[in-house]
Amino acid sequence: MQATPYGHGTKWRGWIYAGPSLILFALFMVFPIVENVVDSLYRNGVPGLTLFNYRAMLHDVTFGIALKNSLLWLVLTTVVQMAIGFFVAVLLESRIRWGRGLYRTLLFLPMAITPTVIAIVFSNIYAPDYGLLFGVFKLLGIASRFPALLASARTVTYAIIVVNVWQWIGFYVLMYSVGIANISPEVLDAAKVDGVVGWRRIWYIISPMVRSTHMSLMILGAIQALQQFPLIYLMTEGGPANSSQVLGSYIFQTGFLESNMNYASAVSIVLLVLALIVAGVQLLVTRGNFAIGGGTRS
Amino acid sequence: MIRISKVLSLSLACSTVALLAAGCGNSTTSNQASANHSKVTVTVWSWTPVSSTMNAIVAKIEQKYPNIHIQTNIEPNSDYLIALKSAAASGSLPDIIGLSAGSVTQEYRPDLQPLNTIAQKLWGPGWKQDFPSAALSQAMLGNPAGNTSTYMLPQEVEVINIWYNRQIFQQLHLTPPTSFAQLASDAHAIQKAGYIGFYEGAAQSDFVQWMYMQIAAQTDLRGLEASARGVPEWTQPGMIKAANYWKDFFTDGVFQAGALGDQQYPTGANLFAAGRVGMMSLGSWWLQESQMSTSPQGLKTMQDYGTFFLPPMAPGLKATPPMGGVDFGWGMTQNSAKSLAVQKATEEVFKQLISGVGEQTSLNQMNDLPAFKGMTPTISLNSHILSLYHNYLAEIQVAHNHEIGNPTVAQALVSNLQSVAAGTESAAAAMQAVQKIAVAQENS
Repeated sequence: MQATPYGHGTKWRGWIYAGPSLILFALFMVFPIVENVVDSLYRNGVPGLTLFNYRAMLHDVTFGIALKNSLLWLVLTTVVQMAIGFFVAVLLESRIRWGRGLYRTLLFLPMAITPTVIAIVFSNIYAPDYGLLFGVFKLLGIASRFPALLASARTVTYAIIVVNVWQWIGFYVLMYSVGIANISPEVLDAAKVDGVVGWRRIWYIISPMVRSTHMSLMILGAIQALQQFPLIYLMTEGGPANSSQVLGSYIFQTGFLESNMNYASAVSIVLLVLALIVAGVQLLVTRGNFAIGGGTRS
Repeated sequence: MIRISKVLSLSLACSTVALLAAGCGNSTTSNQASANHSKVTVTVWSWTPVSSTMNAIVAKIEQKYPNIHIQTNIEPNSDYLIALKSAAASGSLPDIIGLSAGSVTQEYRPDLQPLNTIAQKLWGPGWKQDFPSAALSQAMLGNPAGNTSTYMLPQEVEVINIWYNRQIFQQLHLTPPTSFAQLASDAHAIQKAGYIGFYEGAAQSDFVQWMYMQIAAQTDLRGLEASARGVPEWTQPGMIKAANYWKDFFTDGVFQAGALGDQQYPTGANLFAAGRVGMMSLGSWWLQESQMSTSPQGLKTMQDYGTFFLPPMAPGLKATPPMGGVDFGWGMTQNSAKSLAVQKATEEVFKQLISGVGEQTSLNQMNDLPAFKGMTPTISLNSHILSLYHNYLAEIQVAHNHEIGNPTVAQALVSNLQSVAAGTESAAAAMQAVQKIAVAQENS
């Protein structure tokens, strides 16, 4: 056995401990990714390696829409959820004296509801003629101006993003609440003594102190946005005319509805690369400084 | 190996991993004869009928064959498709799988047993006469040229048409329309009375396709049937005219506002069941609502509901002829042939599902129309339901195909029709786009 600074055999012991995880990682992560790349290099039903699928993507209008929408989802959901989540958490932690737990629970509740139910409920809320939102417009006497949000290519993606934000906002509030609760009271008191109150307190004291939570939620938000599929499939099937398609829903459509698994593999590789770029940029920016629930761990 | 990797890698490599893995995670029970206590296990997977109906079917078959144990897995359609792919890739398909006609059957054709000889054994040499011809030809939709085998046989068939609320029509002194102009004026009158005139869930692909096919059957039935079979004629004048007529439903305010963002199921169906919709494009399966304990009285008796075929879209055209075919059917996988005992038991279960106690149980819940001729519900039904049922049974015998063989073409048709409805594409351009994809698919 080779000696290490930690003693004889420690190096091998480390490999033995890590081995099972590494095998599982290789089997369920590395192997599928490699095979997925290989599959993407075949044309459906045609033998021989080719870049056909990647070339086809360049001329595929629906792929372009899906890519654009995925990026829109990535930016909008992450930014909006973080902004609202942060300010609601600040409000909860600094202004709400009683029932804080109840508010947190109520905000968290949508996360416990299955996307199927959420999709049905919001489809009804958005529906012209008989939907809840239409009812509000009617009450205000502006029914004729009611937009068919899910029927228009211009609004459909935003309408579904709103639903996603509504569903996830509780999670962001909870994470920020934990982060804010972890800030030392002495720091906040000292800021108060120095006259740092109101917006300046939020901007210069609280926000930097929960930086690690910002970073964690940014990564989680990005992953969740890129994973998006159920709400879109259930509310619009990617329509009308593919206008709400994202990469996730397009993979399902091409792979499972149109039976073109090779093309779906190629699209999934693009999605994987996109996710890696986003994660890489975020890791570079944060230098690995992130934690769930705040704190100041680096 | 390549097929294993296709699904595994796609399922696990990218960010859709959770969703796909969930679908792949269904444990595949052994499809071999499990000789526990001399019982043979037959595994059956499907997305339909609903679990409660399937459980009742299984109970009846197991009661009839005490030596057979049936293990089922019923999942929503999207999950089912993923589970099937994963199982096929790993060679662990169950003995019997639920299939729709066309692309799904074709996709699993290499894993399925040709059923012609088995059908002859189960129902005799004249077995083809036992099924509606439209359903049988749909069962073979997409077969390679010269392949006359059938790999799925239908348990239930369907006819598509327009349902209307008779209460609303009576209340407003309306009659079922005999022309598009009357249909439009009926819809407007119903809307004016505070109901939804004609509900169309145009966000749901099947119903967009079916509505278009009902129109195109009036304008160019031959071109439609050829195109559906895979001989593209989407740019024929009649096909373009049908796309224009489809648009009229939106521009003339026949469909409800925002129809492109609406779902036929569950939203539209719930509204229709609640008596808030005047007309809706559905089909023979709507009869099953009469057996739902939660249905209102008018729906339980179907007294509030009636049917008509899409009336002529313009002078000189005829009303849409009956259109329909396979609702769902079953295929026997190659896995079931690995052991004689399982093959025999699988054949028994297969027969019972299509023409025995299985279908009888389903039929008694009015799930849809029986594919096998001569079967009839044994429950008590009022004369109105019986009349609707028998009309449908007669119509399915002469029905024209309501499915498009190639799923990529079907998807292209739907998205282009949505563009036409949204006004972002002309009917001619839309059908050109469909034709282009259809030709590319034909050549690939």
